[in-house]
Parts: sequence; C-alpha cells; structure tokens
Amino acid sequence: MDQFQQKFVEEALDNVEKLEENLFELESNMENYDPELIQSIFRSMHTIKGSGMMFGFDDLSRFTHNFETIYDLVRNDKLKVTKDIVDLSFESLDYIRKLLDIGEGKLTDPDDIAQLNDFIGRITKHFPEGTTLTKGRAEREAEEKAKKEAEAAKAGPKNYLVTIEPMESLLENGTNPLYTVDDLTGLGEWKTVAFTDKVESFNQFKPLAMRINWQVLLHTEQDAVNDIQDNFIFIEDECKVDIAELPSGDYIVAGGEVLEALLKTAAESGKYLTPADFEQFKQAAPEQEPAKEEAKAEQPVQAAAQKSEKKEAGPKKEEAKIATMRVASSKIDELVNAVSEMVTMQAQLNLMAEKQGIPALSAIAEQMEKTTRALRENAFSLSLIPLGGELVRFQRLVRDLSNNLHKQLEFIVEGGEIELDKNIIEHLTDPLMHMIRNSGDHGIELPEERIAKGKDPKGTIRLKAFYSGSSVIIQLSDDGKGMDPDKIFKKAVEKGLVDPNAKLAKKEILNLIFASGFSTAEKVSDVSGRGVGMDVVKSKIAEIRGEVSIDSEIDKGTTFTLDLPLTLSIIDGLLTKVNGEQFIFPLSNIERILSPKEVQFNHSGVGNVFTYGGEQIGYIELNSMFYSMDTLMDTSKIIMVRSGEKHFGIVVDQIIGEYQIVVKPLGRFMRKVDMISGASVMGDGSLSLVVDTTRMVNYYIQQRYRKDVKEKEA
Amino acid sequence: MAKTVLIVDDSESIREVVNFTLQNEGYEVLVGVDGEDALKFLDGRTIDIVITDLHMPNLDGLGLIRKIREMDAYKHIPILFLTTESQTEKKMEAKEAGATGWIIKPFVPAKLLSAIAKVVR
Repeated sequence: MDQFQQKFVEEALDNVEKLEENLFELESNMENYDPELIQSIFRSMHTIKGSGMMFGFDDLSRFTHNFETIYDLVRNDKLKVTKDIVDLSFESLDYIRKLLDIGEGKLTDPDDIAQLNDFIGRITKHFPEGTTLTKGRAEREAEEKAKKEAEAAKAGPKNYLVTIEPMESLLENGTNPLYTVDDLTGLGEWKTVAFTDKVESFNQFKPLAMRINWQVLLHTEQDAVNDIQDNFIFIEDECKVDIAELPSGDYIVAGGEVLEALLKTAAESGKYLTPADFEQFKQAAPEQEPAKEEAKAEQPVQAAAQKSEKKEAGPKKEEAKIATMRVASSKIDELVNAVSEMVTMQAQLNLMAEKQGIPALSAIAEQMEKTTRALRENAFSLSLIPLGGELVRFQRLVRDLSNNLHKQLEFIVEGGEIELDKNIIEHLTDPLMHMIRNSGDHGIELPEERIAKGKDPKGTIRLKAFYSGSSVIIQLSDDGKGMDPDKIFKKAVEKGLVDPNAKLAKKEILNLIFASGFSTAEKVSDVSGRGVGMDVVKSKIAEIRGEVSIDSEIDKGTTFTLDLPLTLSIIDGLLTKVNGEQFIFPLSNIERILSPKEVQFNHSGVGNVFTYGGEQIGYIELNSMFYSMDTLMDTSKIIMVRSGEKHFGIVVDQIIGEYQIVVKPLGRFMRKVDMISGASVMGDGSLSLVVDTTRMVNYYIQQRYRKDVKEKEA
Repeated sequence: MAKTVLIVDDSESIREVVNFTLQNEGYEVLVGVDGEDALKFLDGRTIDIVITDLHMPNLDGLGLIRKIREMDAYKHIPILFLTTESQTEKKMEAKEAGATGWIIKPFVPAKLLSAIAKVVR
C-alpha cells in the first residue's frame, strides 16, 4: 500500500467514525432531524466514495455509492428515514471498515464478492421504484472498451471541417477558446480560418465579448469525431459546434495555392466554408490517378492549380536545408569591424537627433538603434565558436604527456559546447596548453606515488567550462599533489619577490606563482619549466580581459579558474563623468548604483570603507585617485561592482547614461595602465576611458596592503 | 513563471494527491480545506486556476465558485471542479455558478493535468 492509500484509509476511517456519530444523532430523532445532518452524512460518504475510486478501492466505492444513494434520496425527500434504514446504515459502516481493511482495496475471493453484491442488493431494495441503478465498474469498463473498439473499426484517414461559433459570454467564465482550437489542431494536420468580421470597431470594442468564430480543417489518420467532440466538453453549451466530414484525400496537408486561396476568401468574405467547397479536391485525390488526366482537360484552371501544387510539394520533400556554412573568419572579422563602426556612428546619429529636436529624425534614430543592436548581437553570435573545437589538441597533449612522463593521465571535459569569441579562443589555447602541461608534469604524481597515498593510480585532469553571468568560466583542475604554500613562500623569498617577514594569506601566497621570475620546478624538465612561467599565462589571459585565480590543497590537487569575457570589442557600458572626464563601466560588471546618502562613510580605519546594508564595503573615489581631489558632489554616485565574493564601491561625480561602446585598445605605451581596459570614441567625437573594474578593485586591495605593511614598519 | 493553482477539497488524501501531482509538474500550489478556508487565499494575489471539490462543509464548491465570480480580481479566472457524478444536473449547476470545466473522479495524474491544460497554459 503506498503512502497515499495509507492516508486515504486513515481519512476514510475518520469519516466512518463521524458517520457513526451522525447516525446516532439521526437515530435519536428520526422524525424531526436537522437537514444539515443528512447533508453531513452524505458528504462523508461522498468523500469515501470519491477518494476510494482515486486510490483503487473500487469495491468500497461501489458499495458506498449505493449507500450514499439512500441519503441522496432522503435529502431530496424521496425516502423516509426508518429504523430499518438506520440499522442497515450501521451495518454498512461495519462493512466499510472491513473493506478498508483489505490490502489493495479490491476483493478477490468469490465468496467475498458475492457477499458484497448481496449487501448492495439489500441496500438497493430500499430504493423507491424508478431509481436508476448505476452500473458496476466492470460493466462500465466493458462498455467503454466496446465503444473504443467500434471506433477503431472506423479506421482510415478522414477529413473534417469543424465550425466553432462561441457564445458571446464564453470568455466570462475563464475559458480561452484558443486552447480548444489549439487542442483540435493536435489531432492531425490542420488549417484554420478565424472569422473576425463580427468584432466591433475599436471605439465600441468590448474585450469580454466573444465575437470570433473559427473553422478548422482537420486531416486525421482515423475517425476522430469523438475526439473532436471531446475537445468541446467544457464548452458544449456555450459553443455551437458543427463537425462535417469532407471528401477523402490529403489536400489539407498538400492543398497548395487552391486551398490557401479558398481559406483566404472565406476569412475575407466572412462566409463559412462548406463541404461542397472541397468537392474539387476529391477529384484531385492521389488514389484517382487515371481520372486526373481527364480532369485536367476539362478544368484548365484547376489543372494549373494542380501543377503549382505539385511544384510546391515536390521540392519541399527533397529540399535538404543547408543548416550550416563555412565562412572565412576574416569575413566575420570584417563584419564585426563594420558593425563596430556602425555602433559609433549610431551614437553620433542619436546625438544629432537629440540636438536637432526633430521628432521624425528621433524616431528614425531610435529605430536604427534597435536594428543596430540586433545586428551587433547577430554579428557577435557569428564570431562565437564552441570551445570543443580546441579540445582534441588538449586530448592529444594529455596522451603524449602520459607516455613521456610515464604517468597515467585521464582528461575529462565538461562544457565543451560552451561558446566563446573566436579571438578569445585563439588567445586561450596557448595558456591552456601550458597549464595542462604543468598539471601533468608537476601536479599529477607517478602511479606508485599515488598508490602509496591511497589514490587511484590514474590521475585526472579536468577541464570544465560554464557560463557565469556575462563571463565564461573555465576551470582546469587536477587531483595531483597540490601546491605547498610554505614551499612557494620560501621560493618567492629566495627570488626576492616578497618580504620574508610578510604575513600572507594562503590565497596570496598561491598567487605568487603568477609573479614574473617564479618557477617552482626544482629542475627544468623536458615538458614544462622552460622559462615560460605562470606570469606569461596570466598576462596572456589579461590580454583578453580575463582573470586567472588559483586554489590548491596539498595532496588533493590544484584548480586554476579562468574568468573570461564573452566578447571583446563591443560592450554595453555606463557612461560617467569624473572631474569632467568620461569614464565607462561595463554594464555587466555593475551590481547596483547607490547614492552616497544611502551609505555611512567611515574614514577612520585602514583604507576607505563605508557601511551599507550591514556590510563593510571598500571603495575608491575616482576623483581622488586620478585627480587628487576628494570632494563628494551632489551628483556623486557609488557604482557597486563585485569582485569574487566581495562587493566594492567606485565613486564617480556623475552618471550620464547607458551606451553601446566600441572598445578600442589603448596605445602600446599605455599597456601598463591596467585599470583602464581601453578607450572609446563617443557620438560627439569625445573620448572616454573604459574601466576594468576587477583590476581597479585589485589595485585598491594592493594599495591597502602596502599601506598596512608601511604602517607596521613605521 | 510557474502557474499558481488553488486546490480546495475537504478530503486530505485528494488534496495530497492533487498537490503532489501539481507540484511535480512545477505548479505553485495553494491548498484550502473547504470553501471558507480557500477564501483567505483570494486576497488579490495572482491565482491562475482554482480546482475545487463540490461537497464540502462550511462553504461548498458552488458557493465558492459564486464568491470567486463576484471578486473583480478573479472574475474571469478558470475554475475547475471535481465531481464524481457524471450527472448533467450537477455539472449544469456548477457551470451556471461560473465554473469553467470539471474533472471527474477518479482521475489519474495525466487526466488531471490534461484537464488543467484545457484552460490554463
């Protein structure tokens, strides 16, 4: 017995108990009982019956149904309550208890079934003449089965014309006739015509008055009259439905222009289609091949139509659609460049339109902007390619590493379908190869070493890619020996990269491997450690505006996480002003914008911190950072960005608005300015700088750290 | 967005089965134990469909349907009622009260869902 049945039995027993109480009350006052008492008895029985059916207690339901009928009769004053009936009721309750006790709810023993039927007989005896007896379940099922079989016998494709005329009030009770039409079309091939000629003109329009009629042409594989009728079950009284059978043939599937014209005329004229309209197709039915020639000769118009129909149907079948095509990637680059230019010009157009104040021009500018945006998105999606394409190279690399290093390596990829800008993927391959090489060489131990550690002798290198907001995350992890922070720290001190007295968090120590001139390999091996260190990896990733981070656990393994932007050159940005200069923040990096009034500044601690929503949040004032001013203005706003798990605030003087920005790289001499990822030409020809928020936050954290150290030294 | 269904039935086992089936299909489910109890959910929040039993204490299904049809916010939402009687009389009465359709007990989950799909999508 499942949990639902269990619940049902408990509930039914409660109802039986309640029934018993009610019966005692009824017995005490058979002449002048409260009508509500009978209602309550009826309800309890009804619940037992209804739920019984739901949970497979068929015999119980059948029995209770008859028992209930007595009280339905009493309720309607067709039967008087007598001692006999009350006695029978008590006896029935005991019997219900018994039926509830049988495991799956169905009697199997013939004697028990006979007893049930006998009992039901004793109940129905009390029914006055003329009460219709409900059929037993088995009987009903058999009837339904016979009906179904009869339906199946009427097999063979059929065509129907269903005319639906809803009453004006149809919508009032929550019916949506479109669903009904939609369900109808699920029965086979279809065409529909909506007759909207009765819909009032706009100023007299009543949204709740149903004024649309439909005709649905259906081609079904077999007789479907019952299925069609079933669709209207809820609204048969609120809808005039006419189902007409049409001549055979598959013209609803391949009716071609003649059929389309017919439907169009009907919709336009508001005149219903009739079965007679379809007689012409009858002769065109495919099984009447020989007749076709004759028909052609006699009815030239129709013959022409047939030809066109053939033409249409012919190529449709053979037409193998070209799903993809190869295009030289330089062409896509050109397209993207052109779109980039267009975005810039669009900004000029917008500005011009705004200045001129000509409504017509503004409207065009707005329309153009929409189109430009769509074009831009499309052009970018063209330059996206799945990461998977590069994976074979990695797979091969891992295989070669296994052989060269005598290690057992397995390479697992998750998210190979993730798509990235092809320029990003091009820049990504080398760093990833290098990191995989490192994992195989330095990370994964030799099989005997792994066995000694109780690990699987086979080491795993896992590449996992997934989307996260507007970036793509690529994680490369191994289950090797991991990195020892103490060793790294020692090495970094030796190389003079860090103060021996510095107190660093584990994460900070691990990050030292990205410092230039750091290589942990004790000796330079064939595979990795050829002077190309992790610093190169980091700067390569930085070129594509990505970030690398590292996490490692001794003997558990190392994970590198690359956080990459989806695309490079065009972004949605928020234009701001600081001391009269324009700065752009990528919209995707912004969490929210706060007014300085909403937060509490706290200058007393180390670095700038404010409190917002109970959280201490570090912040930078751009005008103090770039221009050594630090006045908060009336228009000042705090742009909240997220860096890792931390929120961070950047204060600007003023926010101008949202723009599509074409990011152009800065000149080579400005490469070191990593807080600014590029520049953009605005619509009015002015320049604005694009802020790399992650780098800016990192810069702040470094500054703060240096300040900490200096203060300690002092 | 997930559709919200208000189910009203005095039988706990029916409530459980319906609730279980609907939640599995991703519907948000509100549960009332009778008509009176169900009224507390009709406070202006979005309810996409009501499924109610007819025979219930306090306020029965017909009463509930009539009340719902008087509320501006719910005047035209689909209401299905559960019924064991295939008698047209009861159905007519419920339809006149404003019900959209019905589900005949006993029903298997598929039947329940297809009945809902007839009126809410």
